[in-house]
Amino acid sequence: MSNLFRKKEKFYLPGEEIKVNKSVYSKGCIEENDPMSKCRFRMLLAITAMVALFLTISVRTFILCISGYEPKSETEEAKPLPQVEIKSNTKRADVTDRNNTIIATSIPTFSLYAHPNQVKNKEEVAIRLSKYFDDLSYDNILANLSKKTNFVYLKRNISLAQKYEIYAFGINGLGFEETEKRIYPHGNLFAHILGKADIDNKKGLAGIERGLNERLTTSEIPLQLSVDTGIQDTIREKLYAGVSKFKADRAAAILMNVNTGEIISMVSLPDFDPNNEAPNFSFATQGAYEPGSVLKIFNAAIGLESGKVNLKEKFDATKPLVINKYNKINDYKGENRWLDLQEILVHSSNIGSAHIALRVGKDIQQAHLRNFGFFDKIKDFEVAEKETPTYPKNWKKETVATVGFGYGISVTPLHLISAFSAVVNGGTYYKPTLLKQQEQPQGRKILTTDTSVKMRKLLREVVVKGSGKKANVIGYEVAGKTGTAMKVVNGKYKDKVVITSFLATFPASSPKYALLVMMDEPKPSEETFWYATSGWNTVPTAGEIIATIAPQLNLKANYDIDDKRMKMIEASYNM
Amino acid sequence: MNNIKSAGLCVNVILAIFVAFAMFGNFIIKNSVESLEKELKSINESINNDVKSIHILKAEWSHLNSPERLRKLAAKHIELEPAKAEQIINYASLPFEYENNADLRKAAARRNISNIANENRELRRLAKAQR
Repeated sequence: MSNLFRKKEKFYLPGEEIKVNKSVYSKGCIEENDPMSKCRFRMLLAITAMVALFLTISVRTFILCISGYEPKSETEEAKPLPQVEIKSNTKRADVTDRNNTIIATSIPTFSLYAHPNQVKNKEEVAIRLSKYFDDLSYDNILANLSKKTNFVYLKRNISLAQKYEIYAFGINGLGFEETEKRIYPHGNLFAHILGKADIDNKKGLAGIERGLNERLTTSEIPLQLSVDTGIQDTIREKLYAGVSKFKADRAAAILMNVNTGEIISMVSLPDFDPNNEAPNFSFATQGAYEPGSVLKIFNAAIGLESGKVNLKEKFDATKPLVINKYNKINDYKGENRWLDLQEILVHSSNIGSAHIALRVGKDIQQAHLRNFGFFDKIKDFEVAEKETPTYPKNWKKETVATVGFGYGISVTPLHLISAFSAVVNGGTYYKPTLLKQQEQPQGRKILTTDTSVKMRKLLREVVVKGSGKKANVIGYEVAGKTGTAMKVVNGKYKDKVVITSFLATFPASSPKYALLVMMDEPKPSEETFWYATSGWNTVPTAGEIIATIAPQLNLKANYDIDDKRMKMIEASYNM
Repeated sequence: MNNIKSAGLCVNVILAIFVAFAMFGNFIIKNSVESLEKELKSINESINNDVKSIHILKAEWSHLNSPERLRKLAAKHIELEPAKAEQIINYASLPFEYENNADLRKAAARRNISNIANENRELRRLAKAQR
């Protein structure tokens, strides 16, 4: 072919002249200068580049196919792989009692809202919705829909079923917002313990919901309380019956485990239904009052502890104790004779108690009362409603005497029961708590065991022989002390207007529980022989409570068999 | 020259095929991951719904178990009352012969306990005497 081109000088065919004669073109060319040799290099380069590109893509794709997930670097936060999630979808943790019964929980609900400017036929919509919701009136809905805003709530907290039914109405301009509602399945039962959460379920308004708001909103784990639903119900029922019977204005009862400070039950009446009522006054934690004779328990304990009083010594209760011109201490139904410590408690002698208090003296009395916690607010207690005790700044001689029998300082029922537990449990003060204790809490030793044992015996006699007779439940060795304190009305103590209290512990031989029952202004009646003192109202109520709850609390009944005999019986079975 | 060209072409074609396969594989995997994610999402949604229903059911259960309601039901349907202190007795106080009358039964129980106590006292006295 190349020879052919070389020989022919002439063109025979049209267009032959433009045919490229490669040999002519390359004639005389040096190989290195050949442009094609540069092409070759470029081609190699291109091929290599393409191969590298493909290789990179293929390797990368291949790695993507087979590799697992790894975070890019160690500093980069590892993004977790999507996983099956079981998360609680409520904003507040549940609250349970000590047996894991739910006593407060949140359930998902929906809130019905409207964009008023998008709703046509407002009258018709109002008619349909008012027919559907019994508690929404036509006027109310229409007023809401006529507002000149872009958003208005029509009804809060409706159920899923209701949502679908309203959805089916096909009304334009209505919408649903996912919300949640706090539910208290037991209604009034734990009213003052739990309190209440606000409508958005974000903030607590009262009780534990407020006191432990942070705990409830930051953790999903249910909060376990120390209260027992069954016991709480029994106590509330009995207290309610007592309040109705004696027509008391208010009442409170607290049951405490004396060896841990756990509160098994706490009731204040009147209470409220947290599901739909506003919180009211919680007497058990807020009601500071002059407790009256129940303070003689602590007076006696201080006397014994200080070593200035013993069980045998007698005190002159034959005549009123005159401290100064204005202060003359009398006994209610006085014995008018010399009384020993046991008799002072059994007959609840004001004169005798004042004598003991005066002998103990201001400093020791104050120091011990402080130890009992009577001067300070119980700060760590879980509910939000707490009260600081009141006491005179100037602690005069008459204060020393009156505090001895229960006047002059005001404390709350919670203060009383916590201090009383310390008196009977062997002398250790445990902080009252509403949370179930997983291990034995650390207490504060404030009395010697010896004093405590003596106090148990003294208090047992009060129930056997004295004003607490009606609470002497056979088998459970109840020990306790009554108190009837006159109330201050218009700056003066008024007779027959009283606050009655009863502090009891059972079983006296080794106390496990302490119970406080108090009533504000119980009325005398024919049935109580026109008495309104503690022995006629709080004591029988407490008796009924103990008789019912003791078996529930798994306490062994012990039919007036004294300790020794009981031990012998046990021993006979062990032989 | 041609050799290089064809070899390069060959390698390129092979790689292209490989890339195509790998991409296809990748596409399949991505697709299945997406469908798995969809499945996971729906599972999570149904778990969420179930958790919600369980939550509501728990609240309802607690409500139905409220002591006040149970008390009413118990009063209506069964003849049971809360156990009283007297009903819980020590083994030692069980009477050996059953008495129909409650007072006699109680008396028998007390007799029984004091018998045991007396026996024990006697034993103790004997032990003391021996010493």
